[in-house]
Amino acid sequence: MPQDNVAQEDIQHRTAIDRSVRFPVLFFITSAAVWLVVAVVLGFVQQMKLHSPGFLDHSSLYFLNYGRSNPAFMGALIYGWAIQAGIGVGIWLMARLCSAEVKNPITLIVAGHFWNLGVLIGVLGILTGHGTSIEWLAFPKAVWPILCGAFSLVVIWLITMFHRRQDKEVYISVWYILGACFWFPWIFITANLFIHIFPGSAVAKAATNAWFMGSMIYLFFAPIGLASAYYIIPKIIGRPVHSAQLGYYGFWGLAVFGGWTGIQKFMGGPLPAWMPAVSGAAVIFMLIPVLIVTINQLMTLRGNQSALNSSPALRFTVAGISFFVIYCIFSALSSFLLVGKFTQLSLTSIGTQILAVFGFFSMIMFGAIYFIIPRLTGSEWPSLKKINSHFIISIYAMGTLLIMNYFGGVWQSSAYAKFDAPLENAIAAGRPYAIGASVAWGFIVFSTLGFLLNLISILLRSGRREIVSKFVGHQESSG
Amino acid sequence: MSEQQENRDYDHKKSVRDSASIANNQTEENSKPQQGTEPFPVWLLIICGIILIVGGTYVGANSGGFEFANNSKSGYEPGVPAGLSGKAPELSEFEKYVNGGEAVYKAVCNGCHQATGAGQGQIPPLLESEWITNGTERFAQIVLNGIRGPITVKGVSYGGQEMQAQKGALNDKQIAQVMTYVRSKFGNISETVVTKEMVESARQKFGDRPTQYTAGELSPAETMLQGDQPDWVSPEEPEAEPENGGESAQIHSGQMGNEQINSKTA
Repeated sequence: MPQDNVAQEDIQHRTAIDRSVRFPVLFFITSAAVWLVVAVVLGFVQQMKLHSPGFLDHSSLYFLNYGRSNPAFMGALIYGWAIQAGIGVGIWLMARLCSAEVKNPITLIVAGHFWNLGVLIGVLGILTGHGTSIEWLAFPKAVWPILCGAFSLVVIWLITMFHRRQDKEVYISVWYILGACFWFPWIFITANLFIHIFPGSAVAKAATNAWFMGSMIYLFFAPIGLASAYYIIPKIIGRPVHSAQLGYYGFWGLAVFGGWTGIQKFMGGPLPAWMPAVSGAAVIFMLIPVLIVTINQLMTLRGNQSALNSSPALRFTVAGISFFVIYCIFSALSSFLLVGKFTQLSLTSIGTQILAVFGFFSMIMFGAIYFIIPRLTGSEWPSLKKINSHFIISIYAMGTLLIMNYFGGVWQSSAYAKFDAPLENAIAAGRPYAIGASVAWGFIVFSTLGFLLNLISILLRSGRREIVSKFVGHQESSG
Repeated sequence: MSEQQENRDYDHKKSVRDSASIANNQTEENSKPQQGTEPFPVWLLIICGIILIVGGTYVGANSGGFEFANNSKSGYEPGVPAGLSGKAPELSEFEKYVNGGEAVYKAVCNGCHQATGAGQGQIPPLLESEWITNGTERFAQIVLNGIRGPITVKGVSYGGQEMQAQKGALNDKQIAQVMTYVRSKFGNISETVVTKEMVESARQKFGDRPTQYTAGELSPAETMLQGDQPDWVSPEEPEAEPENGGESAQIHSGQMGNEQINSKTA
């Protein structure tokens, strides 16, 4: 039958593409997963140190003190895991959506090695005391050009890929990926230039740093995460995305408002009032694209909720989108001083970062990885139980972290606001919540180790093998 | 049940090969996602409009007129925390000068003479001591070069401890301020101050001395350091401040000061 032949050709073409991107994507995702384990272990340690400084207090472990373990944790989480996983997933999506086989994966492999080298130097540099103590840019000053060069190679590759696309129609995920691959170098270079190379006043540096963090979330993590969601959800459900128009406005809304965010963190601070005001408004405006995208995804999902039960990839993706909506609503509320005074300078601040990087972005990346890896290795995930427990524990731990950090932050900042009470009161007020967050981090470490074990065993081919990848997320009806 | 398992990403009971054979060569993966053609719903447009209005109002209310000099929104008045008056105390020039001296006193003199000026053990008190309320020249000599040997303060004899020279540790302004502070706090003299210029000339006169003074070597009790008082000292009575300086500055002694205090409080 001709239809069958077409389908067969499709499968062969897909398999050829998968085979051609196999090595770089596996390289990025595997090293990202290893960094994730490093990050969550450091995350657990720094969270324990927050309420029990005596934890692991040994003279030979001086480098694990909060002042070093916290920036090392954030560095490993963001540069080691999140961005790297984003690159891996982005490459695969790009290859699939451009329907073109990869010609020169060596570029990507070189970029991947340099990126990992940069992160390694950075994390070790922080732990040995050479960090810059700037949030999300804590790596030693020498590291950022390495990261920048490595990322540029990836950008060049992605653009070449886009030029060689076989498919005339440019799918919405490709817009997001191309957007992110231009936005990330822009914000990363700007932030490093104005913090490390041409430092202005301390206030200007702080504002640049806040802008960098806001823009990283809205202009790198959000587009890559949404690109993945726009691919995974319709792919697994087996129907088109609800509306191309919504996709269009969602993308341009993000592109227009995303780069103004971040400085609302310093409202009431010694900055010109319009800077936090503009950022706060941008965060409120960001609700527009987020609302549009979410509605687009939900409408795509509508009527297929049962697929959530059968597909881990879909479940992780939908959870990630939900956390993204929660994050955006929290951020918009926090840009009003009434709420912001509780969230600015307390546990809530770090809780918000974790929510964006772990709750939203990592969840979507897990979903994509669970979808991609079997197609690249040609074998199944060895343990469904591990996937399910990874999902359940991640959701509960993230929910716990959210509650602990937000409520703890409110108590803590109320205590800070009492100017005539001793500072210890504020620390004591946040303490029970910090302990709760430590428990959540313990569970995250546990589930992440399960994820890594699962990943290693599928890579080492201990899973059942198949000749053609055909398993994850398929549906009978679409034939 | 079996249908649901076929829809699964992953089936941990059955071999994937089996389910693939059931699927019978159909596409095992859905085809590439496409974009739908649904229009932008009107209600969503309305919500977006509301968000735009909220955000725009937010900028207008908080931007402080988009001026670089404004770091608070327009019309913002700092709140008054309970228990505070909310007003920053307004200090006179004299109080600022004395506060500078207080900082020096806390850093240098506190350890021996105590914050109350009461002294301790063999260290004589400053509180109401005739050595600080009388002539400023011998006071300056003591601060600059230190003092040793017996000294009688308020009728009690001291001498077990010696005071080190401070001319290396403190500059002229610091010495002037701390002397003014001590005179005002412990001697209740607020109508004259010791100026930087007075200490400068005192340092030129006495600063070369290599050893500490003894009580007998100091200048007489009534000798004041010479120099102009600054403009801000007792502005109520400008005529009490002859501008010719020099010798006449010597007039500013305790008696004259009392009159000024009276006139101030009146």
